[in-house]
Amino acid sequence: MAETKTYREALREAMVHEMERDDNVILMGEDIGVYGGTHLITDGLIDEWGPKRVMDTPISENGFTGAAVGMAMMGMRPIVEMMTWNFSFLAADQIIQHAAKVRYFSGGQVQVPLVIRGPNGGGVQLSAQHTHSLENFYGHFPGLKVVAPVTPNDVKGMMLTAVRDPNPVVFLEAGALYGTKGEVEEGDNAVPFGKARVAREGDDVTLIAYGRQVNLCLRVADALEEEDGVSAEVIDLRSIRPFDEDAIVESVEKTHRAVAVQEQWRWFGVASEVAAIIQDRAFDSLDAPVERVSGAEVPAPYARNLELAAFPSDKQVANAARRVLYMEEK
Amino acid sequence: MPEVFMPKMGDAMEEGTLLKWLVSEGDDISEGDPLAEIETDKASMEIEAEDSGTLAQIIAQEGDDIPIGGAIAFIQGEGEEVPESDSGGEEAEAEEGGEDEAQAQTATQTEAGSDAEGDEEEGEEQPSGGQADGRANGRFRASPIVKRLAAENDLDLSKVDGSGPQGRIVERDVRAAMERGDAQANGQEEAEAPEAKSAEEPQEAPQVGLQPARLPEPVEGPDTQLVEPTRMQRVIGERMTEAKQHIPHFYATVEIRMDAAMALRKQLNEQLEEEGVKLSVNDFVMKACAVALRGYPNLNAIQTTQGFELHEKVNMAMAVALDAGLITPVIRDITSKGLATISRESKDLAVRARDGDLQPDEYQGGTITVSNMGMFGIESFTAIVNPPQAAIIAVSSIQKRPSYDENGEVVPASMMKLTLSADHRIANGRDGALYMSEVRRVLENPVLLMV
Repeated sequence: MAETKTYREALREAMVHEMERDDNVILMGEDIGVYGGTHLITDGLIDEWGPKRVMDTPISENGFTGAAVGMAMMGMRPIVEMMTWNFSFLAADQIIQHAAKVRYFSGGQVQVPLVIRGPNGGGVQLSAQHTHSLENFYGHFPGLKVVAPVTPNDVKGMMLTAVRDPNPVVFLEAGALYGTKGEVEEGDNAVPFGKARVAREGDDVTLIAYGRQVNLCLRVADALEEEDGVSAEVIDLRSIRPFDEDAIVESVEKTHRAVAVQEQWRWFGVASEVAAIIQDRAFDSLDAPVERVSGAEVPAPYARNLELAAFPSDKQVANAARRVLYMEEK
Repeated sequence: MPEVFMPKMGDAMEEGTLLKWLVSEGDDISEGDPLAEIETDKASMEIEAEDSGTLAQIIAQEGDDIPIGGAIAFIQGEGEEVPESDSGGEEAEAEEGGEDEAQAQTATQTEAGSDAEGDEEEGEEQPSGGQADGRANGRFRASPIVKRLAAENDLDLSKVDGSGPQGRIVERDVRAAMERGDAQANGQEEAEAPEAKSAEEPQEAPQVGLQPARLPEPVEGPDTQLVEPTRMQRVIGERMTEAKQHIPHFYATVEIRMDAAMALRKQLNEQLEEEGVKLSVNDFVMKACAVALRGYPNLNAIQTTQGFELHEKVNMAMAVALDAGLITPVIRDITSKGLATISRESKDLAVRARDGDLQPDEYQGGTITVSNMGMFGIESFTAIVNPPQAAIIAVSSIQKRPSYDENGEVVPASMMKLTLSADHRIANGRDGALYMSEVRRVLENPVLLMV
């Protein structure tokens, strides 16, 4: 059975599902209780679960993240909300220096079953300090798992997996998509990490993305089909670490051409990793160099027109696809 | 020791012939690299380097016989010197070797120069130094998948135009070329620029594994005659070599009693004499082979870039011998034609084939071939499948034999053997066996040719 729900509802449903299943699961974050959460993800939960399971914290990311790391080390399973992932820079020491390394330092004796979640990326005019796509940043550090679901079904299924994972999980939500709707499986629909999703099947070119760029790629794939007769496959990576190399290799072995799309800046990004994996493992299948489409190399602008210009556009992705197909750009 | 010696490769061995250098002077050599091919009276094998360094000097030339332990080359390790200054004797030897080399080089070049056709053999015999320029000229851009497709399908990329940036050959170019069939490394497109291509071929499709046998130099005595293969002979040679090597042939022979067919032929020829029609045995055989194909579509098939294409209509190719070679003109949709029409067409095609008057569309597009050597009294033979077709039928002569009738009496019978050669990738033995017995049934009951 599947029901249509918003991304926000699916996310909340997953957390409630785990709170019901396991008393050790608690929620922490700024304004998530009485106020209901800045993005209303946790709206109403404090009434049902009380302030010990749904904890309002001070405006002190490093402090409450550190507290959560400690709780996790002691066997609890905290889900920490970053009001936006931009504020996680303040907690980076706790996330990178402690959460990611305690298990390693302790020779596996102490685990950190911690989930840190919140909206990631831009697109809603929050300007430079509140607009970052951090999947490559956190994906860089061994010891962290990093996921970026884009569909309501995946956000629920991956949250279930995240809570159950004995390691710290950086859970990057598509902040601009909390209101989007989609079919969500009832009950336990846990989605494994490290498995990409073929969002659309095609034969001529593979578009690889994650987060809200997946939706962009799906639009572009439809346009390419209509305008150019090109059959594009769209792969939603959804799990950045662990990474599903096989899925992209398999697809490129079929299509022989690939475009990697990311909202973040081009340098040292996930798309570069995708391109490297393809040239490494599917070299003899390639008909063209792998194209990357990325954000402009500037801090995110506030003005709507500039913000749109700073992020990958339908046109940029479609033309990248045409280039790898050796077709005329439009 | 940095010198490379002729090794002892067998108890009875006294000397070895240096067949071919696999490296050139100045090459960097690692321990274990193959250096040269050596032949003894028993076997040929490669000599491997026992030291690393630079191949400073080649002492033995290709074709030289070297006693066991004789130096053939010198590998210069770091800080080592070529033993030129060691002793006068060695120095002189080394110089002599150098002259030999120079002479050999000149000789090769002269030969190549006088030989206008300058073809594959020359290219292979050339020392690798001579290829460097051609390699540089022959470079072109191609995407990785194109290079893979070229290797897998034996394509010559120099025949493909690239539509990508800076002329890069991309997948669509090579797919289109494969569809047109004009990128085969050993294709029929010889006419374009044979010289340029033959120089490039060894580079584009380096011989892996199978090496051609070493050919002797011509004797050129008073009782010998040196003949250049004609273009047609060369094409036939290449295509038949390719077919025989790449098509897994299987064979099925039937012996057919031809008395009924001969009787019918006689009767028809009497009736048709006034019209100037004279049916041949081969007309009957071709029609029978075509009619019998009805239930065996995978013997009337063409190997294409995308699998086997089964054909409903039978376009019968018939092998016609020429003075120097052969050609296979095609009788189209032969099952729809009567024996008289087939007879007329086959005679016309054969005459014009011998006169060299055939148009390309008259010898292309065959779906199966019949090759008849019956007129030469051949008892039986097997033919090589004519690619891209799947089958060929070898027709032998009709011979009078004693045979038993239903009462066990010995009676004379006219017997003929037909041998099918078929491509095992397309058809299996059972298809071949059933098909051949159907051919026999039709020819032994020749009224079936009329329906």
